[in-house]
Amino acid sequence: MSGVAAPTEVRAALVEADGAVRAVAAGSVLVAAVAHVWVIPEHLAEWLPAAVFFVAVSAGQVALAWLLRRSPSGAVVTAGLLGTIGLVVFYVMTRTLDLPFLPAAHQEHLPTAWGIGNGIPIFPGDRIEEVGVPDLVCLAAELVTISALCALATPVVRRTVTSGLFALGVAMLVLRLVGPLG
Amino acid sequence: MTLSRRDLMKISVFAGAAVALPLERSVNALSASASRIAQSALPRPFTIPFSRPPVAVPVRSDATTDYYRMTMRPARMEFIPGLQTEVWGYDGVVPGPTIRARKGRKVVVRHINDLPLVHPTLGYTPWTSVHLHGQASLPQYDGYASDITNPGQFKDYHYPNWQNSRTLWYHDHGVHHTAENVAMGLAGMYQIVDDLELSLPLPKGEYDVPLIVGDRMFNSDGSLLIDRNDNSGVYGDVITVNGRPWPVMKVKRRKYRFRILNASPSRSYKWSLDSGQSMQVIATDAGLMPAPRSVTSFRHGVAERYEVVIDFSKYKAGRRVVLRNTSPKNNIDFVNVDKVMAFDVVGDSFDKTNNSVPAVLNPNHPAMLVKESDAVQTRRFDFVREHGQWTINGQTWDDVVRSGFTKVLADPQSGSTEIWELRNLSGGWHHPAHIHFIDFRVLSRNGAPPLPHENGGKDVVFLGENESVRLLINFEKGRGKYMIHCHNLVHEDHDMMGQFVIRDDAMPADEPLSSRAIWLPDGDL
Repeated sequence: MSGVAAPTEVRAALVEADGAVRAVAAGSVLVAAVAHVWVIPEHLAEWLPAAVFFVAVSAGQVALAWLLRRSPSGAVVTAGLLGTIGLVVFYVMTRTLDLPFLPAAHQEHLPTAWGIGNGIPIFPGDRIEEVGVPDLVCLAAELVTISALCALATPVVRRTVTSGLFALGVAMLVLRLVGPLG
Repeated sequence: MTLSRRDLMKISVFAGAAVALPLERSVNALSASASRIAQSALPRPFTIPFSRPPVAVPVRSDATTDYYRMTMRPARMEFIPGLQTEVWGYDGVVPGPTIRARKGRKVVVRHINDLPLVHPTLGYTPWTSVHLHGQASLPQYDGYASDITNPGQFKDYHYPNWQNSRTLWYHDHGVHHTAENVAMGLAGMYQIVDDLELSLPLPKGEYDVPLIVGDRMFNSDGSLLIDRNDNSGVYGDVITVNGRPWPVMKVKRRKYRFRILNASPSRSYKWSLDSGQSMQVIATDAGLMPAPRSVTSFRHGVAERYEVVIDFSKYKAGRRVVLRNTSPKNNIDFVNVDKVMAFDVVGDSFDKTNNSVPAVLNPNHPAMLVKESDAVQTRRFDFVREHGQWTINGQTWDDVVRSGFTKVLADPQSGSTEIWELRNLSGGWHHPAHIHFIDFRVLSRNGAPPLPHENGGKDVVFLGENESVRLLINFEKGRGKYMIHCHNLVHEDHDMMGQFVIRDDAMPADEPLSSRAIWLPDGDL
């Protein structure tokens, strides 16, 4: 017999591989969700909108993991990809840029009676968050999720997304070199 | 279903950037100093002429009181040749005008906050609270940190001036941003003179010279660069004396009295003359010492005042003598912070009166006459950094605010004498500790006698790393709540400040927040 597998064997192998990739994607997105749940209390203490954001993100990631139990539609894969890429880009921005809509550090004092505003200076970098262990765990999980979802995507989406990721990566490195990022 | 090698490479570029850039930013945390002006653009030391702050003129006087009106407002100064720097000054002057008061004659200062609603780069509203450091003010006129004056408001501060002669200073004390407001320029000198001082043959007039020392840092556009250095302190690479970088002063061949005030936000100094000559320390924070002390160098923490007499008669005309700074441990130092100013000796004629230092200065300084045996209690105050916050005995100013301004670190009885032991148990930083209202005497430092230059009445004591001091304090004439805090202004802001109350069961005290600022326009003073 030749070494060519029968069509049913090929289909079975593909289904098995699909299941493994979905499992990886679901597992990694769950890890990211747990990391986001982990930081909700500290953000709740600092700034309510941030806590709400992390609740929403965690819920979305749990939903994505649920949908990945079975072969998801192309729309789910594409939405999961774009959402996760968006989270990673936002993460990079919060760790490298003074985003004006975020609260600054060192603002923990009690309000001052009769005062206009809170009276607390905001220094360059005060709105940039430090990188912590949960961040790195979450980032690693989300990068695995992106890779797995790319593998599950249609060839056209995969090609478009990976090219976009390449362009994003190059753009971030260029922005770092010319100044704005970091 | 599978990713090609090309796909993986594309994803890796993105992943690499996403991992590396935040980590790199965290490791090399962006410092505000990144925009610091180049060293080569700074003025060379000893090229700018020395100047003295102007003397304030009262708007009116009556039989008992002199009335001043001071407006805190922005101004522009040229620290760096060719560049304009926005500063905030009392009457637009940095340092502010010097107020000269006579003992027993009252002073009222109307302080008007005409500062912008928002700081140009740091985004906060610069409310103020003016503290006359060294004055035994009533609680409501003491510059209580939370007794704020917003932009567009004013407050009249009443000063009794019943204490002996001394060098004081007024500066901002507004809660949360004292360091920034003082770095912007809100500080000036105030002197009380009395008959004893006038009777002594110490240098007077043009030979009695204020040296208000600060350190500043600048952006490349000339604007002030304020960097809290992770809340350790604000340090500059330019040393200013009376607002001039490393000035040079012409001096005649005689004795001069220098009133040195360390008005830096955080930097401590150790003075010496490059000639090796000794200086005679004649006064400390609370005025003339019992007797002068001769030293070749001495340490000077933030907010302390030391007055020294330097004898230039020993030098020939044409000689330059440099006042140097061998920086105490735990400052952030730069190229030329080891230099302060220069004295160029000239051969001009001079007035030969008031040209000596008597062996006895003020033998009856009240703070120096208190007996240790009179102490009824010993209290301990530990200055500690806990969980990133600066604390005194584990408490912060937020704790005072949270308590409705009732929480106190100590409650001595009016008229009583106590020993307060202040400790800095840590390495890595120093704390110039300031106790409001009272004068104290340093009993011991690390179990040994106080340093020679500390043998006078004081209101700030330097706590170097792992140092402890014992202070003898009489709480005479006082009642009410007063602050105790670290005078590294960044530590003070975050949040090494508490309060104590001087109890007087027979007479209730005024509350610090009992006389609030008023919105402009103001009426007659």
